[in-house]
Amino acid sequence: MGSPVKKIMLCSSEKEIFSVEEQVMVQHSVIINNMIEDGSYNHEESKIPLDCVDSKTLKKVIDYCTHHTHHHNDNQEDLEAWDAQFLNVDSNGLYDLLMAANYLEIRNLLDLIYGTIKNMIKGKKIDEIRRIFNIKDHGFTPEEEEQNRKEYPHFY
Amino acid sequence: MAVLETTNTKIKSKNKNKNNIIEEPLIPGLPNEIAELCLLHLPYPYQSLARAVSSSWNRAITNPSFQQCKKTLSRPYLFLFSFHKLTRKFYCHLLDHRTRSSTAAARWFTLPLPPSPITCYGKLLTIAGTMRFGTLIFSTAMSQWSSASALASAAAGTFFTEEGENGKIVAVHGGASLGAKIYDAESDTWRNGARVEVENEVASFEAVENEGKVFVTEGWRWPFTVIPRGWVYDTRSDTWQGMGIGMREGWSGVAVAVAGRVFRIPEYGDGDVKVYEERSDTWRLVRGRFPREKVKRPLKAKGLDGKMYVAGCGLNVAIGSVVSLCGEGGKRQRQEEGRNDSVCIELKWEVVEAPGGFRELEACHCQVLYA
Repeated sequence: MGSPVKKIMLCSSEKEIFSVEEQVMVQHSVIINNMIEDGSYNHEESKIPLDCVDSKTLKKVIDYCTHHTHHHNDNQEDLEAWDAQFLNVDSNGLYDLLMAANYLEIRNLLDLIYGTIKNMIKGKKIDEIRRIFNIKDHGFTPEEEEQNRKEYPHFY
Repeated sequence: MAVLETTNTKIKSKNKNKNNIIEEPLIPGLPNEIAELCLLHLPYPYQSLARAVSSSWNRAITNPSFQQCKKTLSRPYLFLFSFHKLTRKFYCHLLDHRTRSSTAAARWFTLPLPPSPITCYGKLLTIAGTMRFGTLIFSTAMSQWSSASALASAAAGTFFTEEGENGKIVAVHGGASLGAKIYDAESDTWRNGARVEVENEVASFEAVENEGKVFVTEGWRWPFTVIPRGWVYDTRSDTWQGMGIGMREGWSGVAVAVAGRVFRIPEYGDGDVKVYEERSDTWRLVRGRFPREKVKRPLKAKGLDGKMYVAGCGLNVAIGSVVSLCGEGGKRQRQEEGRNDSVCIELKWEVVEAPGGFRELEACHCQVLYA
């Protein structure tokens, strides 16, 4: 542990600077890994601007990457419990995380969020799903809606 | 980093479709391209539920390009058609073998049966998220069957069908001459390919499609005195050729194409799995023993993306991953083990055992499909 831990700077949409261990982000984010590898990041002066990620979301993303870097040897159950706690956010928080993870290409976080979205649909009735996703106008004609109800009565 | 801004600007603006009619966003609060990703990642069978949520979800999921995308984003599912040995009743199951955590068991789904009687020699075809059974089509997005353009009646009799390149389907039909028919999914039409005259009628045959070539052999039959005949149909040049004698002679059991090669899995005894080498017209030994005690004949097999899926009696499934030992590392490994032979492919097998209730089921066709 001779040399100090290498850090990189991430800049949120509010221009707040976050200093993170380089290894943490390189391991999880395909985009940041590419930037470091191709040399477009200069450790002396570069900041990585993340104009579509607000500070609150960026902090959570960094938390996720840090935890999964330092705790990847934990048993599966503990990690899953941590993930569940981590994603215990309202839908706006979840969408913000999804967009950030999609932009930064954090594959395991993306999979986790897609799994959460699947669970928001799983075992639910159509009306509940519409409420959960705030879909006010389903856009079906009354005839189409009637047809769906006839074809899939168990969904309603 | 100009890319950064693109995602955010679209969130607030309502999405317009082709006709410039303002549409509800797929998921309010998410840009449509990201909401589409969420729908794409819904595993089977939730897509049929999602289709009833809103008309925009329905349109997104049933869009043909959506099913194309699923190929890269989703995971393969194994569709198994089987019949009960005693009642002769027909079944259709779907196996989701790749579960996220090691603790969860593989999941089996029972699928609706096609709406018309089926004979077991029929084969299934797949094109990006849909399956065809003769003239019927099964869509994973809708979890239901519908009818498709009928295969021309000339193809009646024995025929074998395989998914060719570019989502094209090639049907080979036997009889007094062997012919090929090519199906185009976009226009939902069949067209005739080249034919080849054969001396004696080809009553039944085995076939496998690999990299644009369909290998057809009538297979060994009692009393095993005549070397089976074989033909190769090249889909690119629309021509027929004779099959190499080495391939015909060594072809026993089921053949399956995976990772650009043709393998054979013998059904009887403790025969080895072999891979065909075109250059020398020989079948070469493959490392990794087939789990014969768990997966018993009759076998049906299908390959996809470096893996072969072999379904046996009682619907136990063996999944073999192809490991190539051809590179430098493999050469070194072979030298260390003191082997000079040209065996350079290994299969790593895992077995997914079916529930006990499937014991009397005999697989008659299997298909791997992204769902």
